[in-house]
Amino acid sequence: MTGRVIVITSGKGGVGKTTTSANIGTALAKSGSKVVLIDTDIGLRNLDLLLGLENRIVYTLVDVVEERCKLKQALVKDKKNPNLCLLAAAQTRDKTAVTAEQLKEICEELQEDYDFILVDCPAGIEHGFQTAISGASEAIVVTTPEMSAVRDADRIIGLLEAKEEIKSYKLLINRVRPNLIKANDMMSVDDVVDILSCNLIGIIPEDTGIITSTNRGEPIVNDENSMAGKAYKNVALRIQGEEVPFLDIDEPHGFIDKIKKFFGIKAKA
Amino acid sequence: MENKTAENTYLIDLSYTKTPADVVFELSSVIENEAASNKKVILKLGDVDLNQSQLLSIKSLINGINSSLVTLSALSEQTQQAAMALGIVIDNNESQPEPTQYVPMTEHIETTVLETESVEDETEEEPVEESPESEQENTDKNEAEIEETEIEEELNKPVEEVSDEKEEEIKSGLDALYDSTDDNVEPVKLGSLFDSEQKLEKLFEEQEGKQENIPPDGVSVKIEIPDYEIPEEEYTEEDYAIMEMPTKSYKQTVRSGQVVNFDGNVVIIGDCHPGSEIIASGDITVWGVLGGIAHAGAKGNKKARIRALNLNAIQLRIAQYYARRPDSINIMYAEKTSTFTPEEARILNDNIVILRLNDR
Repeated sequence: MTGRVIVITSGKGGVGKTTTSANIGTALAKSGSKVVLIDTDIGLRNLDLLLGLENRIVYTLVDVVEERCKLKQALVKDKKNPNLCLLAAAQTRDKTAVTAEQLKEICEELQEDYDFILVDCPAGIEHGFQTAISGASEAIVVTTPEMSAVRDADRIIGLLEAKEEIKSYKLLINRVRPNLIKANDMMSVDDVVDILSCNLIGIIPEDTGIITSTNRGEPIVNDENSMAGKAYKNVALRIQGEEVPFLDIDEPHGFIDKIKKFFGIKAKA
Repeated sequence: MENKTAENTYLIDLSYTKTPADVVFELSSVIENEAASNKKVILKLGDVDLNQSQLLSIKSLINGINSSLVTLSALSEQTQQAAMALGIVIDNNESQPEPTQYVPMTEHIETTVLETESVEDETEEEPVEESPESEQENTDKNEAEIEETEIEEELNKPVEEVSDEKEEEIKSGLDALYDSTDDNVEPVKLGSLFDSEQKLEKLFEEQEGKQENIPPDGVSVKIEIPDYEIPEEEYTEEDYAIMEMPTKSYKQTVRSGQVVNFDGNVVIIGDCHPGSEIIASGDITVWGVLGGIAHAGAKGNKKARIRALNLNAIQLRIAQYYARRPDSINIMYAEKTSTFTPEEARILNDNIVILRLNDR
């Protein structure tokens, strides 16, 4: 089998690359695919924390590259889902420890056994970014509806287009706040898509549950009631080729309607 | 649906509703009734779990008709906690003189359950067993059977967490991690880490099955410890080798990403944060909180030990053995306390065991 290698990147830091990787990875694994998450943010690793696997890491990506262990030994299995594995980054080294060719080799080796290889890219456009995209054939560009993040995403898309190996790239808009968009204080989803002229793969609403889920080491897709969790699940479905309509994150008009919506009741006919 | 109007108060009884959706549905139809406006609303809920934001929405809904939600009665603990956080009075018999006939008998019991919980929250480390029990006696036992078991379960939690942290040990063969020319290092055993992980998982499952009074979510999993007889100290050549090694001391906080690597004994005066690594061929002594990874006896000396004022490491490695912090202990933030329990990790019967320093 030939797995799909998808890099999750953004350019700007703090827009939710790692959160997106953890949640999409978990959602894909939940639906039965075999998934490996690769953290390429060497020296500033976080993906293990989000998955709650920090205490299980013995070997890292750098150990694999420097041939201190076999690739299979370095894959940390998820606590709940046996389909999900993590290849963690080393915390005590820096980005130069892994080269683009080395990561490409690792991705090719993993492609044989896994359906999806998700590469969590570091912020920036330097060595770390070039390494992370080296093995990928698809990309998800994460951005938030802020001018700075959109500008950086534009730069990243330019770099991805210049790379022949990247066959397709899609946009994921994170931390969308419908009430701010309504008050014209935030760029709308359509604005962002217009500026970047790029296909959309998901819209994730702002959710305070993300903070708790990050601290607990439990991806938010495991929470059935969370809007962000649902949105991430839909992204996973779209990656698998299903057509899922985008979540209606616009807030309803009347106040009572709003509350009914909050509790999941359809408005009275 | 009972909606009783007393003077300036309005009682909405929704105790029969089962889901948050029902609550809001019924509430929105009640709200349309003009009698409900400009009143102090007493909301009576049944066993419905509402979170804080849901409750806030209900409160705002009631505010929207110029009324205010003053008191609330609920069977669900989660709802009660959410109400407390929002500053809504949870009514009991004393504070609600007027419509006494509508207040259920269980009310008194529920509030005591809440109080015991708050006591526990404050003293997570050392469970206060007396105060919840004495309050339990006050409650009507016939009606409070369910609540009582809950209290007992709650009581068990902190005790187990402490014992977990202190005495859990996990054993595994750690493959030769670091390049070493030393012949003492055992040959690399492929996959052994995962075998032992699976064994460990089985152990966890078995233990979970045995402990019936543990809640199914399994916040705490207790591992029963075989009674180790701590053997008399007998110095071997390996002990003397450690004693003769050079010792280096560092007077700094070791932060995430920093590595202390020394061929000999290492003494750190300061904390070692999560994400840091300390590797020594001899002993590791941390005069502070050890939160990162520590590897003592990195060249294969099994008599090497790791000691710290507060042993909170993500992983402990001694020679080719490794132990990881159990998932049941979820310490989100660095714990800076004034009380320390100095502990020492060593290998005993092929396991890494953590002992309090006064245990020996």
